[in-house]
This record gives sequence, structure tokens and C-alpha cells, in this order.
Amino acid sequence: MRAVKSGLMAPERLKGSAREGFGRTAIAYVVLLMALVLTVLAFYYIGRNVETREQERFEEITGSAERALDRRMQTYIDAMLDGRGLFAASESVTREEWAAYVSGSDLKRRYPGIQAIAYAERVPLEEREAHTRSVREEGFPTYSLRPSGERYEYFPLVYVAPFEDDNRRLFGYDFYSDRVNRSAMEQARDTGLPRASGKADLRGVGISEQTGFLVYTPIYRDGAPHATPDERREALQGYIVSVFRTDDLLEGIFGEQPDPKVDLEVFDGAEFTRENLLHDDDGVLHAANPGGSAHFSEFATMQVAGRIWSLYFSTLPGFEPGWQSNLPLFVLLSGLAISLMLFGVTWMLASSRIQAERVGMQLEAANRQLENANRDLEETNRALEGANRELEAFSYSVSHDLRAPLRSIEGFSQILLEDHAQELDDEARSYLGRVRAASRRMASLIDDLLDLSRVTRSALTRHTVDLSAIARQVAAELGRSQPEREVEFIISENLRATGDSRLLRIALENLLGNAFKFTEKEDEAVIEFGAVSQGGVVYYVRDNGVGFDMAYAAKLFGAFQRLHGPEDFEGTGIGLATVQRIVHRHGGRVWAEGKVGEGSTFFFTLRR
Amino acid sequence: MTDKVILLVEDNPDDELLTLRALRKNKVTGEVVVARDGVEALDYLFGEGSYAGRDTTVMPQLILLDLKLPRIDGLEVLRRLRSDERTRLLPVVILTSSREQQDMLDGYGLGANSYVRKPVNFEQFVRAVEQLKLYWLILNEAPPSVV
Repeated sequence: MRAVKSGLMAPERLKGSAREGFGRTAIAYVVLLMALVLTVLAFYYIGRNVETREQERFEEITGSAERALDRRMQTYIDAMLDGRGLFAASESVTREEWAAYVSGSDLKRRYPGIQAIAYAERVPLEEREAHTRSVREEGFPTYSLRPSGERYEYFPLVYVAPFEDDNRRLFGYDFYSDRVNRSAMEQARDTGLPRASGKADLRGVGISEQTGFLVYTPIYRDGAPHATPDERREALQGYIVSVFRTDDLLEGIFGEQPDPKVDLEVFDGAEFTRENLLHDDDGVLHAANPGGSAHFSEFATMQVAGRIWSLYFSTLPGFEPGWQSNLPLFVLLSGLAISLMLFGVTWMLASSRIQAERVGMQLEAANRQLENANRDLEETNRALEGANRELEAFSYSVSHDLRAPLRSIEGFSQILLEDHAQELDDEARSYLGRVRAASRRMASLIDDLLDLSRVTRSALTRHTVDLSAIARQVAAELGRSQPEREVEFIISENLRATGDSRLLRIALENLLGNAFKFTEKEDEAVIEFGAVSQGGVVYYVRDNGVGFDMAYAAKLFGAFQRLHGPEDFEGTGIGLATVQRIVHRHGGRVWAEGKVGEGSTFFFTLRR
Repeated sequence: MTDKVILLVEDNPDDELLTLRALRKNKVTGEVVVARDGVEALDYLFGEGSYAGRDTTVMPQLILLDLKLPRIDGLEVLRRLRSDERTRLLPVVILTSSREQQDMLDGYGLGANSYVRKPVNFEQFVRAVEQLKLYWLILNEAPPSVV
């Protein structure tokens, strides 16, 4: 009952373990969630970090470019102010002096953005003819003041250096005639400072394919006061004119980084239109389309000789180094992979733990069942021991108490026969004889029953037993019990077995006793004890007595089974049952062969 | 010889009668004292109870002791006999129906001199009593009286 009860308890416990199991695998999900959150955080943070760093790098690039441009322009303008110094230092500067000055300044190498440095002389309308004549007389017979036409004042470039190639076209050209330049020239004149023009069409003048601009530095007559704008207008003598090519000017503005993947566009003024475009690194106008494909972009303005310039920086594809832009993605992917791995590992650990616990629990349950079974067995054992004790007590009282009245019956019958024989007739005496015989038979029945129960109960002690010797002793006892009979015993020598000598003696007593009994009516009785080898030792007891019908062979070994009536042969019918029990207790088998009138043979084996 | 006393400890009156008859048939003439349980047997031996004041210098030549007795059983009687100086050496023959191995072992273990099983067949019983008389009352030299 208890085992069944604990069996019913098992599913409940398993349910509990399933709940625990869910808790365990939940840890795996928590780990996954945490790892994913960390991954996303890392992805976000690293992405932002990369972005910030790139932004900083971009700003560094643009900042240094702006500074470089500013510095460069300052240098150029300083050079022009040097030129003004030349005029201040001498009464009048000759053409040769100008050429020498410019070539001495190593213009082409040091100021690659400058196309030419010229001197524009102020020529009032009334002096125009005289001016032209004078220049022509200097050896330039084709000199003319361009563009022609009457204007209030002229500022023809009279000294142009270097005076070569296309620059000759500047000779005699009056930029004052142009509205854009005039404005710059007037500002320079009024402020006394170098002033840049707007975008100038150098191609139109025929000196360069590039876009350019001009910077004018006013020169005042020596000694003339030029403290106020009015005095300056009065004192103006001419301008030093620098012609700039913007592309060359901005060449290498990014300094150390030869290919920073940043596009620079420079505009004159505040509007990002193609008309105002002074320079464009890549020839594609990005400023008009801000926030396009560029990752970073920046607007900046700077002043160049009184002129506002707008700068537009924008990154080009490939600005970010590949590894850096891929870093966040890499982090994200590897983070995902690690998260999944962690999840898998945790899951596996948890589930193997659960598995182990489940197995442990099953083991425990099995153990408990085993313990219960053991306890049940012990109880059964105790009950059996108790039953055995009771049986012993029962046997004892049978042995003692059942025999006492028998003894009385038998004894007093005998006393009756002895003391009152003359008072009894033959019939009465015969009846008393029957009472005595029945008492004696019952006494031996009791003894045999006790033997049988003792055979079953007593513990088996195994030793090597000399069966031949026992058989000889039993044969001798049998011979003595009926000395008048002639019985031949043929007992094989050295038949040994392992077993309980007391029980084996009882078995042989019964088998040989039976043989002795059932050969009673033979004149030449022969009883044989031997052994044959038939896949093991088979012992046998053979006699040439009355034998039996094989139809009853199976009944021979049942208790109280008798094949003969008591009038033929005495016996209780327990002997062979006892033999069978003894043989079985020795792990052996017993069987019989026989034929009516031709004797019988009893075989038995014993476990080695 | 005539003053030799036999103590028969037997609770069953039938057995008592049969035993006395068997003794008579074997011409045992001495006094046979019958105790019907263990207490009575011990009282007789030590002169106590209903036997108070008995001359305890006279001890039985032989004690025929049944095992299954009311009050104090035969084995206990034997144990007390053997543990008392006065009765330690008295010949005791266990005369019983029991053929239990344990009874035999206990009996001999406690110092019984013989163990005889009462046969159901009265003729055999008479023969057995004869043997006992021959051996214990005639052939055997009783231990010298210690007291």
C-alpha cells in the first residue's frame, strides 16, 4: 500500500519541478534580454562616439582650412602692402623698378595664386591723350587705353609684372570701367586699405581660364594729406592691383591631409549661387543642396580684403574610414551573436540542471519506493518469523500434548488386556488390539508430520556429506529392525555430496526404508544405492519390490498419498513428501520409475 | 535398596499412573514421590512449602522430570536444581513426549543426565523404564551425599 501511495505522490513532485524548471529557464531569457539591452546600448554609444569623433575630425579639418586660407590671404595682402612701401619710398617708381621688385619677390613660387601684380595709374580724362603718348614714347607704340570711350577718370594698368604671355593683355586695361571693380577700387580709395573685388571674369579679359578676383591697394601722392575720405579722394595717385586665380590660391589649403575627402566651395558674398562661385574642389555644386548626400557639412564666412566670402565644406563619400563606420554594426552583430550564445549556454546549463534534478528526484522517488519495499519486506519477514515461532509452538504442543492422550489410550488399553483379560471375550480383546494399533499409527503419523515440518523449517547447513556411509548406517539399522529378513544391500562407494547431513540422512532413511518395506514379500530382496552421470550426478535407490503403476508416479510425492492399503504395508504417506522437500531444498529434483511387480527406482539430484 | 527414593515430576495423572505401573512392573519397590508441577518438585527437594520440615538429607536416587509443567516448567526446575549445592549432582532423567531438538539441547545444556522420550506403545514404555531402573538404580553409583 505504501509503495502505491508514494507512487501517487510522484506526479505532484514533478509538477513542482516543472515550476522550478520554468524559473531556471527564465534566467536564460533574462540573460538574453540583458545581453540584448547591453548590445543595443553599446551599439548606440559606439555609434554616437564614432559620429562625434568624425564630427570633431571634420571640424578640425574645416577649421584648419579656414585658418590656412585666412593666413594665406593675409600673407598676400602683406605682400601688396610691401609694394605700396616701394611707392612711398621713392619719388616715382619706374617701370624697371616695378619689374625688378616683383621678380625679386619670387612671385610665382611664393604666391602661386597671383596672376599678376600691376600698378594702375590715375589718369583724369583731360590727361588721357598725354598719358597715351607718354607710354607709347616709352617704347610701346601699340599701347592704348582700354576699353576706349570717355569716362571721368581712367586707371589703366601701366606696369604689369610679370610682363609676359597673357599678362600683356592687361597692359593699358582699365578695370575702373567695370562696375564690380570700380566699387572695390572706390572702397579701397576711401578706406586706404586693400579691397577685393567680387568674382572677376579673367577669361573675359583673356588672361586665364580660372575664375579670379582682384585686390586693390590705394596709393596716395607723397605728402598729400589722406586722413579723411575726402582727402584720400584728392590724394589718390593709383592702385597696386593684384590679380588672383582662386583655384591656384586655394590649392593645398587642407595642408597635411592630401586627400581629406572634404569638398570646399567658396562663394563671393553670402549667396551660394553658381554666379558667385569662386572655387569648387570637385566641380559639383553641393552648397545649393545642403543636407544631400554629405554626412557632415559646414558653412563659414570670412572676410577677404573687405569682402565677405562664404565657405561651404561638405564630406565626400569615403570621408569616414571603413572600419570606423562599420564599427557600430560590427558591435551590434557580434553583440547579438554573443547574446544568443549566452542565452544558449545559460539555457543549456539550466535545462541540464533541470534534467539532473529531475533524474535526482526520480532517483529519490525510486529510493523511497525501494525503502518502502524494504520496509514492507522487513515487516513481512517479521510476520513470517512470528508465524514461524507460532508454528514451532504449535509443533511443540502437537508433539507433546497430542501424544500424551494417545499414550493414555494405548497404555490403558494394554492395562485392560493385562489386568482384565479374563473378563473380556475374544471380540473385546480384538477391539482393544485395534484401539492400540490405531494409537500407535497416529503416534507415528504425528512423528512423521513433525519431521516434515522440521525439514521445511530448519536452516540448511552445507557440508561435504558421505552419502555412501550414511546409506550403510541406515541399511544396518533397517537390517537390525527385522533381523529375520534376508535383504541384500548393494551400496556404491564414495558417493559424496554437498548438503545438510541431517536432512540427507532423513531422505535416505525414507528412500531406503521404503525400499526395505516394499521388498518385504520378496524372498531375495535386493536394494541398491548408486549414482549415474547424466549431465550431473543422479543418485538412485532401486529395489526389486512390489513396484508401482507409472500412472500414479506424479502422486507419489504428495503428503498422505499412499498407493497401498495399510493392511498390505504400514506407512503414513509422508515419507516421500519429506524426501521431495529435502531434495528441493538442496536445489535438486526427485522422480521415480517403476512397474507393478518389478520393483521401483527413485532418482534424485542435488545442486553442486 | 528399599529406601531409595524416586522423584517423579509429572502433571498428567494418566502418565503418572502409567509410569507408576511401569515402575511396579519392573519391581521398583522404593518410595516414589510424585510432584505435579515444578513448584511442588522444588518444595520437596528443598523442604519448603507443603514439604516444610522434611528431612532434606534424604535426596532422591533419581528424578524423572517431565518438561511441560504448570507454574514452573521442567527446564526451570532443572536449572534451579543444578544451581543449588544440595541438588547439583542429583541424577535427572528427562522423561517427556517432546522430541524437539531445542528441548533436547536445552535439557542437556542445563545438566540433564539422560533424555528419554515416552513411547506411545506401553510395552515399549515398560521396557524403557526397565532400562532406566537397571541403569540408574542398580548399575550406576550415586554421587556421594554432600550434605
